[in-house]
Amino acid sequence: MHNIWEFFLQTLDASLLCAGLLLLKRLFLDKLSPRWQYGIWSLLALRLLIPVGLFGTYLVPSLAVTLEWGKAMAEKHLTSAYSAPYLPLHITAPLPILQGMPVSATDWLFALYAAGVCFFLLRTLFGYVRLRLLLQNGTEPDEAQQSVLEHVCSLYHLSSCRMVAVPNLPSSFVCGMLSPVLVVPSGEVLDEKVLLHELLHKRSFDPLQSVFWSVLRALHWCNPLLLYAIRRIGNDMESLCDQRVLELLEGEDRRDYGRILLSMTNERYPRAPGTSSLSNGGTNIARRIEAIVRFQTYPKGMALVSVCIVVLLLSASTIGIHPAEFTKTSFRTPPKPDSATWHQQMASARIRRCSTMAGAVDTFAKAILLQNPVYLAAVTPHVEQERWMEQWEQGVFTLSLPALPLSSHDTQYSLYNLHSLADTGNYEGLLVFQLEQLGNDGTSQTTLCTLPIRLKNQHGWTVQAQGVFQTIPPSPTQANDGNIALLPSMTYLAKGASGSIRLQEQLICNVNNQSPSSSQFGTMFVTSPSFDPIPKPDADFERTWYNTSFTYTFTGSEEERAAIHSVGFCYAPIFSNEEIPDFSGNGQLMSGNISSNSSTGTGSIHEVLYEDKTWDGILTNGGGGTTLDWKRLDKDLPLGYAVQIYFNGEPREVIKLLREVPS
Amino acid sequence: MRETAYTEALGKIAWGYLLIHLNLNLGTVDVLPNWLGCLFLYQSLHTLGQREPSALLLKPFGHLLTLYEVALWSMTMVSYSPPDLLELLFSVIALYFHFQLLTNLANIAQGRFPELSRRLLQLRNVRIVLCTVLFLPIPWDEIQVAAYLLVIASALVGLVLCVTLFSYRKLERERLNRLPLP
Repeated sequence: MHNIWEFFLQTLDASLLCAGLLLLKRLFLDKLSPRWQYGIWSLLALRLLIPVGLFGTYLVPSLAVTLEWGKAMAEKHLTSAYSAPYLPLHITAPLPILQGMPVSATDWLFALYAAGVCFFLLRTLFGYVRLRLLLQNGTEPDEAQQSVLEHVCSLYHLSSCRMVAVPNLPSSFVCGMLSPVLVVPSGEVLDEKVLLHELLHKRSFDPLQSVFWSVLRALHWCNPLLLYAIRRIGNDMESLCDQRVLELLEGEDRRDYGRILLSMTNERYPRAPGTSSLSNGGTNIARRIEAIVRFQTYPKGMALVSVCIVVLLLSASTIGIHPAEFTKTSFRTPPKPDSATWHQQMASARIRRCSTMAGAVDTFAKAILLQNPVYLAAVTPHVEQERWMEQWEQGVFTLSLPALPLSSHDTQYSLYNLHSLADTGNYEGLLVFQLEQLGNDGTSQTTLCTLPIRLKNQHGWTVQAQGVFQTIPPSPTQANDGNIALLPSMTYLAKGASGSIRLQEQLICNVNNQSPSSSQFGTMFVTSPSFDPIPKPDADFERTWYNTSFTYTFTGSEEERAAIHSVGFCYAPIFSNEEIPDFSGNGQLMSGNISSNSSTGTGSIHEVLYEDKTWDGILTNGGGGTTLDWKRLDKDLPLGYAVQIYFNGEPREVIKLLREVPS
Repeated sequence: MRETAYTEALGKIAWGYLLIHLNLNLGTVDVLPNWLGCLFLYQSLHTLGQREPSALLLKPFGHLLTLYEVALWSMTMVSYSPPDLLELLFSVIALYFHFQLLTNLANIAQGRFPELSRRLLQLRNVRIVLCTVLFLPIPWDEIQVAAYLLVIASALVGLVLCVTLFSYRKLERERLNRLPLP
């Protein structure tokens, strides 16, 4: 935790979980045994150790949004060394980490909290060390005490441990994390059941657990609910030990055990970190007596459901349930800049990061289509937030389309040519919007508008424009299936003895933004798809279209070209550098007399007949495409192509073209 | 009288589980509401408690579940869904309620119908594991085959459970008919 706001988020989220667990424990008090009652606290331990929001989800997302909003409001007017108003909360560790000297009031608050953590940790350590030093002044137990210990260990098959007698002790206890020591009052007759209780504590490493809970208590020393919970945890640990004792005792011994507990109600009890004791205070003993009374009445055979309940709660309590969402009023019409609602929406956008590239592209595109700065905030890199916030608060939105989006179409944008930038982990692509413009004659025309973008993964995917909008003249062509003539493509070149091959490819990715809506007649069964304006921050590309076009350019002499009356090429994808497809079977299809396009088992064929020998030296297949699975793109996209060139029906050469570096 | 009451309770439990597992939606209205099933189960607890005292511990849960299902049924009619935390809480309560109820039934059946008792325990275990897995926040969209298999398995388990409970009721009735008149 780097600032007070992250501490608030961590501790309040844990408090909500704690309240839920206390409610559950109350509901199951008479149904599930002390084993479950104590074990369920492991969820709280995990919650306190795992940073809130680490996986992008929260137990109560509105808590994160509210704190982010509060932070922005407060830090806007302060100069903090630990936080920035528009840098979203991002907890990376459950411990306080001070990054320099405190400057603002919130910095000093965090420093005070961190000082408190250090104080309570040191107090825990000091208490433990002092106790161990005290034990060094203890004496060896007398023979009677030693024989009672040996008898209990032998009877209940427990391992023994070192025993120390200390004068003026109210009751026995176990002390020590790694090598526990049994501490008994010197000169007193030991009760076997008391020893049994302490030895069971030792067997379950309860002193070590006690230190663990003390550390967590120190981390949240100023949270009264968590302090109360950790006191309850100590008592539940004792109740569990009582349960273990009762399982080993029989008949009258069990009643004797209860009487021993009752007799300790008003006694002082040793209380120090790294210790466990039979007696833990009057109120706690009353609860334990109630648990003992219920010992025989717990329903039997509930082990499986106990585990299932913990499993069910595990993911919700440690990872969270939902990511934060854009607040409801974010859609379509942003509120007045710099109003309270505005800042709340902006907070939700900063917290709600996009988990996928497709989600980021979708959010960014819709921000532009709807002119919505809240959506834009969700995909803006953290370091840019402050600069953009200043603009947006003044009502300035620089990413404005030159015309209106197509209203009647469910795909208003596509992403072209998404490719990774080597060694950076970043991606680039081209957003293509479909717009409608009024022509000079007053009719509506479809036009395309492009914007280059870069995607980076910075605690969620972010998008930045890498240029300005470019408008392409009106065209009836839609942008979904690519257009190599009209829109930019990735180009690869390879040279052979007879000529060169140029591959132009376009990868077109689309998120499913079809939103079914009722028809104007309001019937239940007739729907017409329309564009869904709500961003999908976790979307995947539902449709990936791969468009290619090959062009062969002859580089031989005029005489050689004149001798060619038919030319063709056959291309096949290759998936490794060593791979050479077998084109031998295609020779019979290259007759020299056919003008055609066709496909074989090896690949696609394109052959053109030039009877009048007027070939200009260029042959292109005119383009084609296929649908790919976005999730399998690295397997489905070929490494390159092998292209067999044919002159007059005879194979001429194979040119290998690799998709390594675009030209 | 007590035996007759137990047989009637078994009938309520069997019909209750049938209503819980079977949904028939007309638009947004479920005409076989789950809350009616929960109510039947709740009403049977008193009689069950006379043979298995721990069944009485389920009364508060039965009450809560019935009220929750009524609220859920009403909210569904207006396309509203409950908060996630509330849904999680009642998932936990439902998980325990059905597990213990079936355990109590199996314990009662143990003396007279050991085979049926074993089957009830097995169904109880399979049911709770399936319910737990289905409640987990797994991205089922990405493993649709597994999701379909789990749903089909849950439906089958529900069906077999209902059949088993109706069989149990039938066996109890036949046993009652064989008993000599006082």
